[in-house]
Amino acid sequence: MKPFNAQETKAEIQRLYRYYPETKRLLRSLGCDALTAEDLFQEALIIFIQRKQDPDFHFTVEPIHYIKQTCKFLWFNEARKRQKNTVFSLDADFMEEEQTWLEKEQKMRILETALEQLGKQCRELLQLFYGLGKSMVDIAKKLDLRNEKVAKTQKYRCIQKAKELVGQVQVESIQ
Amino acid sequence: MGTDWNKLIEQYLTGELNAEQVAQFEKELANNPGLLAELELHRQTQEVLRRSALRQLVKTGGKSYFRKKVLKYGVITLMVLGAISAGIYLVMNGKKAASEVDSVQIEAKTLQVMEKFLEFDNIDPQYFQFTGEDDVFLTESGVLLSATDESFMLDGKPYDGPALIQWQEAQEAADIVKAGLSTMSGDKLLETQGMFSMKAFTPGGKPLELSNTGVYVQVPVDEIKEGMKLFQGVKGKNGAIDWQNPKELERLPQAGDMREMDLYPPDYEPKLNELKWFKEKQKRDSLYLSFDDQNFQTSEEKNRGKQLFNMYCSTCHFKHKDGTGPKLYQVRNKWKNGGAKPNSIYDWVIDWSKAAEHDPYALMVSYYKPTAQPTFVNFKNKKGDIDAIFDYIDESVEGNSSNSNQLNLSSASLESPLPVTVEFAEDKAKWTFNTEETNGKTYVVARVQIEKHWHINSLYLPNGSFGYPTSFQVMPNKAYQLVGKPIEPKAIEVHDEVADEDLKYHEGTIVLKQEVKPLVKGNIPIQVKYAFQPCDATHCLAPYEGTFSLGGNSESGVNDHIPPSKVLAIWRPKFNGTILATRDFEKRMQAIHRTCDQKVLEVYTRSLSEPLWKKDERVVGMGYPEFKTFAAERIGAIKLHDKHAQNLTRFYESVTEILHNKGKREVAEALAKERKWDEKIKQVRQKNEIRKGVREQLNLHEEYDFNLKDVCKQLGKRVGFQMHGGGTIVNIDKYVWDATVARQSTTITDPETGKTAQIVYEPFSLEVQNALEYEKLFVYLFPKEMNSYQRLDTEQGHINYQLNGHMNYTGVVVGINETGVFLYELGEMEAKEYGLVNLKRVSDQEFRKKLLALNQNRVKKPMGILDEVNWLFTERTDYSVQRKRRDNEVFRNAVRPTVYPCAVCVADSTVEIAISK
Repeated sequence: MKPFNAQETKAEIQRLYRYYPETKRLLRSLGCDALTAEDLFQEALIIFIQRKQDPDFHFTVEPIHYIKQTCKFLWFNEARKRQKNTVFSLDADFMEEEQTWLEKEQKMRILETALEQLGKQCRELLQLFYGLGKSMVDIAKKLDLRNEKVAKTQKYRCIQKAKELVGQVQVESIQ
Repeated sequence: MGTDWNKLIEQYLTGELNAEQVAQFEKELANNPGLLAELELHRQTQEVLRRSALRQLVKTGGKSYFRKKVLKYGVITLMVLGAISAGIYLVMNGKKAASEVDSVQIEAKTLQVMEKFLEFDNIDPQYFQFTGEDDVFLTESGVLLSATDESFMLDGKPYDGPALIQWQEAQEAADIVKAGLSTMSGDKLLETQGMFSMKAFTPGGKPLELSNTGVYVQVPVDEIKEGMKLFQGVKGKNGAIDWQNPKELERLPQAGDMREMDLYPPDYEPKLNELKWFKEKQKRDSLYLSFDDQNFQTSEEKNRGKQLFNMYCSTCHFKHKDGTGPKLYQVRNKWKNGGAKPNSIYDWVIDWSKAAEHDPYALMVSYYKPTAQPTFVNFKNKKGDIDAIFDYIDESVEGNSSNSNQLNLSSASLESPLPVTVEFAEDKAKWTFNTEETNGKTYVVARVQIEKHWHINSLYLPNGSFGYPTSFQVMPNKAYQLVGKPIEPKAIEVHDEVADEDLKYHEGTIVLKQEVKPLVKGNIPIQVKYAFQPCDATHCLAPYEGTFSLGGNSESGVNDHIPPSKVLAIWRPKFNGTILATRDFEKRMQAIHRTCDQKVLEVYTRSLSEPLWKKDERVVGMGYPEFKTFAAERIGAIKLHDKHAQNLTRFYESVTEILHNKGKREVAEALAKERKWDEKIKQVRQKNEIRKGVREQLNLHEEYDFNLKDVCKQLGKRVGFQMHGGGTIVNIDKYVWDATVARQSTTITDPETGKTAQIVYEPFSLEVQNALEYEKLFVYLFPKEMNSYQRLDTEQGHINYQLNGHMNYTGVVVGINETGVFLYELGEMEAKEYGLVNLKRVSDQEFRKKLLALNQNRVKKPMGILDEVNWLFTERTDYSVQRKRRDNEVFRNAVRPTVYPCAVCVADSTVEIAISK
């Protein structure tokens, strides 16, 4: 998977964020509180952007529709988890098409929580490298490391640690 | 661990391995399921990391969106509030609180707990979920609640976690009845705009208390009724609510950002826009600040006087000392007292010779020095300008003037000193004025320096004395009261045997005082009249009467304007989050500017934690009823911690001080720069005057020498006196001298030989086209037979001059003005009418080259001309300097009334002395 272009992606996020108020309204109409609504919206944005990068995938719906449906799906799961009584249905067509993807992304989300345990510097370093495709030289500069060699050594150490954490969460989630 | 698999996998996945290594790794992979799993985990971890990076982007992207959104949202809300908000009755049981609209999912258990706390029966509660961060909620009936992380307390300790807000409202009469609510306050019936109850709970259902910050509640009402107050509901034993503790209602100030506010005087920016001045705030601030320390009397007149003086007079005249010309200080009085005819001084300035013809006093003055006063025909019919010059000089204080440096300017040793001595009273006793505060009393003080051997009479003379008492009279004014009579030091008392008269007088330096009691604070205009007659042992001079003023300087305590430094001091982001960084204050600032009373501004800048309406009311109390409207708005406070408020107040004071000094310094620097230029141009002009004198002497003598030799050659004689048989003395020198001075053709006959010699003068004339376009217009003549060149003045573009017929001239017409230098070459001159000539613009270099070349073209050793050329260039520059100054002054005069809208009335009053109070 290619790293993200920070500039472009940010611009896109800002564009998509314009849909937040209406999405929020939708979610609240389904009994979702404001704070959760934003979490879900952000999650949906991530799923959407990830999806877009899949070369085999072609959108059959408007981005906002995709996001709203994703939100609905996420809230559906969330509400169920919280044992809240929710009476609403998901768009069948959408779900049929996207079920696999959404479930995969849900898993990813869980694995992501593993990174919370990772040290701040490690997380930043790895995010910069894998997420934004920054060079080791840039990363060393940004994180105030002596040189790129140090950064690289640090990277090996960090990915090892991250792997351990992710592996752990993986095991837990299966149980 | 022999092999660092982690590293290897990483390198494999990032493509850092070479082909051979890859092959080896894949081989290992095929044989080692553990490694495969590890690789899969590694890959997945990378994926997760990538995703988390995206989340980071999403979160920050959302943040910037939120900042924008909240801003917009805030503005809309507040506008609505401004339109409809008003008073409310709040039920609280000691609690005020707030929350929001959307329905919230609450666990049934919690809900049950909370329902127990309901205040009103039969009214459905609304619940709002408060996340713990600042939030705003809107209830069904349109009440707006705003809570912050400081709003709540749990068990007496600050609580900043999430909360559930329970809200009940009974606004309609039907609801009130349904809820069985009373509208009683004690035994009085209240008219209600609505009743509300608010409670807050932790997510677990524990009740929260309200902190001091509390929750802001904004209730829409149909109309704002006077006396509308907020009551607190207290449940009586019987369950009925009694409404107690009425409180004034307040509205939240509408916060703004200092960087986006406009605190300038209302007309300032429109004026600048109209004048198409720079838009940058920094420049506009700086300009605004430059008005900070302005002396209001620096009226246009005075500046004009100063400019004119520097432009026309300062070359020869000092203000307080005699130079080439006599000093000009109090010159109008001097003429008047000297017996000059009225207005003859104005004629004198325009054309002294005409004045001398009509007025004996003027004639006397014309003997002052042989250096002639130039004529200033441009002052014709401009008595106002001349007066402006004299006013400027009369107001200047000796020693303080930039023109006091001495330059001995007697332009030639040939001049004889003035034979006539005129004594003036004001030279014998010099008065200076001031105000002084001692022991809480204010005095107007006159310091009189009396010349040695002279005395002036006491203020109070003994009965029967014929002397002219000195008088020192502070003119009455509404702004102050005179306390007692003027005080003088003990006078010398003697009995004059000859006149049989008791004398009482002062010598040396004395101080006269008049106590005044200021009735108003601030800058008080004071006018002083004084009169005295100086006498010495032998005679008395004509008495002198004068009025005097000191330039009031607008130091602190001056109330008739809002100093820009005080405005700019608050106009900075540091004051964001205070009551000053609100749209409400911005609105008031306009009105504050209109009061021109910095005390009003101080009301707002002091004690920043106070509610705005209290300040408004205070200002109303200061006599500004127009602030009643503001007070009625009931804008509350922005709470600051006391320490914070104190810090800001201190900051404000220090910044005001800094800005004030900065403004002062900038003005002083600008002035110093102007002075420096004035000084330079003055020196250049003085040098020019000297050069001119020297050159004209040379012109005359050289031409005389030439003529004499010429005549002698013609007569075949040697120079000198010739004794003749008949006893006749023929003084050839004398004839030649007269002819040369008069520039007149003359025939001289030698009585002895009968030979004649000719001195020939023939006229040439020309007129310069568009002569008025040039500030200076000269004809330079370069006689080949002389060392010195000649500079001829033109009169309104005309020149008519006698050329020496036996000399060869080349000539050039030179014009200068602000835009450049202009030439017309006359070439080898002939005595003829050149008619209308048109000057051509040339570059500075060309101009210099031409003049140098022409100057070189002599038989003899030419005198230098470079200094002359440089003088012309300097003059040229001065025109643009002066014009820029004039433009600037015009500009500032246009802007000044917008900065000091009240200063107009100040300018009307005659004199100001600042009594700082």
